[in-house]
Amino acid sequence: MTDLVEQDWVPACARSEISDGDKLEVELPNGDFVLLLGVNGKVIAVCADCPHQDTPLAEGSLIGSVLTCPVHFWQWDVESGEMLGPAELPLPSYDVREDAGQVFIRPHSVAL
Amino acid sequence: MNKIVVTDRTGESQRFDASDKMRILHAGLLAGVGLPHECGTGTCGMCKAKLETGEIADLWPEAPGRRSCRRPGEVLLCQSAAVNDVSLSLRSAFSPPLRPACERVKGRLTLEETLTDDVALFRCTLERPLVYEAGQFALVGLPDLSGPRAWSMIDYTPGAAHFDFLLRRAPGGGASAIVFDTSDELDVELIAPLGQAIFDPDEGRPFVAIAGGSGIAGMLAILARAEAEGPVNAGTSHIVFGLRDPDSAYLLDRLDAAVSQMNGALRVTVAFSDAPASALLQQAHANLIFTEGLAHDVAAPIVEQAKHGDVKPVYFVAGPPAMVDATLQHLLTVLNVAAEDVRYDRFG
Repeated sequence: MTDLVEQDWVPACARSEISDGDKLEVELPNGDFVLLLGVNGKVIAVCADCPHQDTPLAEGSLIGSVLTCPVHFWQWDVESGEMLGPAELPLPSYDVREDAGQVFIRPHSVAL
Repeated sequence: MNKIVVTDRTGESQRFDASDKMRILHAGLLAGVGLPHECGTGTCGMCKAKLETGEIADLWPEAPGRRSCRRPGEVLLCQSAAVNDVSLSLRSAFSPPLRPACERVKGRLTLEETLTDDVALFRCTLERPLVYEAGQFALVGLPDLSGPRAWSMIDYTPGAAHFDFLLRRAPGGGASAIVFDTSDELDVELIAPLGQAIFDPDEGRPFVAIAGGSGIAGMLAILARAEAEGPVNAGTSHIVFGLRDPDSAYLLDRLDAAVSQMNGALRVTVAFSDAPASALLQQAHANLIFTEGLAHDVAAPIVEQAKHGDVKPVYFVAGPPAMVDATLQHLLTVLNVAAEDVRYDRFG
């Protein structure tokens, strides 16, 4: 990550806002909605909407590293990216960087 | 008529007509278009789409489902009527068209049986028979009320031109006040059937149905089909019926008779959250099991046992949204039930 220029990253939230098991939805300047997840001492960033029917995943459940959509129960292990249960599509993720108590996300070149 | 074009995330487009009085979701479903949806009444937010061109009237700007409309131009199709020709885009893909096909049918609603002070069965007599599956629901439009209500059919009587709805008088009036306070027949218009929480005996699987309050309605339709058609030798099915207290209990006679009729293939547990069942109530319904607690807690040991049976059951959940959410969460994350085995429709 050190080869990335600083302007690739956008601030998302304070690191203190996310503990293990927490979900926090943020909107990036490009219009993407990103779901920040506290998993095993890390912050993981994924697309905030289910790739199935666009349901906000902030209304789902996060148990350990497994995120479950509240509507049709598509599931993903957000650490490994593995699809679980009835999920038929991967959940897009974002690079995350922590620096000086802040969480930064690198947006995709095209908004999701 | 306005021309409606909806394009999904794959680029596929579907076209249909909608009058300026018709909600776009309902017009699309009636035209056989697989528009994503769940409740059809503004609660769930599943039918959101982005308005690309044209103009719509927002029929309920405060709809709870609008919380899912976070991007510019996003609207709920179930609360949008086209003012002129409209094009919309979906961030999801089209769903398969509804089976059985959704129809618009007129009917008349009359009080059939008062069950408690605030719960009653209302008979809906249709102008023609409606084909539906056990567990499905109807969107019911009432006179002088904006927007339909989602009510489950309590019966499974294919080919019949009538069925019953189980309704609770809600505090604050609204649709239930109109229904309960009208002594004459009420003209209604149905858009039906809808819903994915369907029981099919041909799957050869028993079921575990967890219902809170009037959520028992759809479960009774499932039970009616199971009584009539099996599944044969698929193991024991269970209903857990959550109620507040014995004074608010209803339909226990029907459940008691079903246990007897199904000859060991059905067990029904009635869970009272606030007070125990009296000895008299238990004697009067000897085929039912009475206990205290919340439905999802009471269901836990039943689910644990059922999921290790020879045939995997189908799990149905129905009731007030908060109860449905708590039960789904418990099933999936505590009891580790496979998501593909759980069926429900969230409306209310």
